[in-house]
Amino acid sequence: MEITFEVNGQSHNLAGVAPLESLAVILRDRLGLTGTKIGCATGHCGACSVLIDERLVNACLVPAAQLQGHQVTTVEGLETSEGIDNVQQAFVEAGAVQCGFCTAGMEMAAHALLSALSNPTKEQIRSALTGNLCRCTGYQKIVDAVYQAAIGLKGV
Amino acid sequence: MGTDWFRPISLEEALELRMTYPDAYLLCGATHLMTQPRTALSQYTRFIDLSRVEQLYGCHTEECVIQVGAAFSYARAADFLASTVPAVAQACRSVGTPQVRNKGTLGGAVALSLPNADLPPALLAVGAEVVLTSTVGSRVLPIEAWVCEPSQTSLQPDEIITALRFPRDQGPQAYHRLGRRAAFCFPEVAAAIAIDATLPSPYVRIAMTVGTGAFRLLHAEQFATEALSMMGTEPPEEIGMEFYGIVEETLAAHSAEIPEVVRTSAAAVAVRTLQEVWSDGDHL
Ligand SMILES: Cc1cc2nc3c(=O)[nH]c(=O)nc-3n(C[C@H](O)[C@H](O)[C@H](O)COP(=O)(O)OP(=O)(O)OC[C@H]3O[C@@H](n4cnc5c(N)ncnc54)[C@H](O)[C@@H]3O)c2cc1C
Repeated sequence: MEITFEVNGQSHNLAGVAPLESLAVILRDRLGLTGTKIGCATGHCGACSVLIDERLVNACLVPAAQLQGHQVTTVEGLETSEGIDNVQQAFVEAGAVQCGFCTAGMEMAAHALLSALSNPTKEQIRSALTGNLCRCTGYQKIVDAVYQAAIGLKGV
Repeated sequence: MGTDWFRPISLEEALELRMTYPDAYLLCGATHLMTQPRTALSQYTRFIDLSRVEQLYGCHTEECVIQVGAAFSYARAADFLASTVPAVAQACRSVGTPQVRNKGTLGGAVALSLPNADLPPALLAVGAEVVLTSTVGSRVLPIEAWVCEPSQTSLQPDEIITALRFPRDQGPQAYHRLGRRAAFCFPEVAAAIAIDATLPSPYVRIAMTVGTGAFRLLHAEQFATEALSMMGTEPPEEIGMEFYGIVEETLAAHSAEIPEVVRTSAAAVAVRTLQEVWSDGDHL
């Protein structure tokens, strides 16, 4: 089938797509956006988290056929003209990255949280990250990074 | 073999497709579809995607009833029902992960009615109804008549679940579950309790699942209802102990296969849920 949708503000028209091909595979294999990782492919790890029309979803659970007309934001889309954005910067500063496999998904989940709630508590951050596993178990620093990013966003 | 993927945008179009292709795979949030083995899906050549049908996102509130469209995601339903049907809102908030709650739908949950899912006990406790629609019209089924046998619902091959209806603002309600961990996992045990305080004498409805499919605990309901009418707003500790025993016995009678550790944890979850609704005495 043929689908037209946007990724990080850029329109893509893809032909010959199998309807059940997942968004995660499309991003990586067809569009070369390998920031999105595929861990479990069953919605259980969160490594492939992206935003569709601003809502956080697992890209592995989105069939290609449902993408028509939608807007996808991946970790590559977080970058600004000045470089990495403040959530990513906070991850760097807090040392919230070990092997890095979960990082893109964590950052997308953090973005979804911060756009809904500018002043989250650590409890709310933990709750917002419950769909993202870190196999290095570096959760504490990840939570710290999101907390710092929130403070930075408020300009405190 | 090619695959047809239909994306109806109106309910009329969706119902026509459903009638024409009763064997097509219906889907909405696709969270279940995408986790099915590809070999199991290879038998399907047609898919009817309900996610663009506007009518399935509608909602309206009547004097005593609140109706939400089948395409409501768990996340949206959790917000929308938070104050009017809190047990269902809490069950929606307990499902999987934020990602799954953003995509999985109420219609999908009801269609699947998985034996250990979060929603079914909450739907039973609050007395929800399922609205089913075909090209010839709609029928409304009490949730109790929906699951005939495990994995066997009353959905006819030409029907679509179009909405869920809930009695609103009935009184205190709560939902609690216990799983291997808080996120990602289906509950091992779950309890939902709703006090209908709109009746002259408040009635307590109790439903649970222990991986067996949700069911009501009528003996426990009678006990809690009588105790509530006699004791007023503060649940004394002895009531909790007695209630614990009744729930455990009911589960043992329900199925000999429920291990003791599951029965006792389930009874503890039920007591906690009862204490929460009971203490929420402002509504009584
Ligand atoms: C990672 C993960 C974790 C999960 N954790 C939990 C959990 O903790 N607790 C829990 O209860 N559930 C859990 N689930 C299950 C989840 O609740 C269901 O997958 C979801 O509700 C299905 O809804 P959907 O719209 O995505 O269904 P789809 O995948 O679109 O469809 C599923 C089924 O429902 C039918 N269907 C869908 N909509 C309709 C309709 N309107 N009318 C008739 N039939 C319809 C379809 O025919 C299909 O058979 C989890 C799922 C995943 C992937």
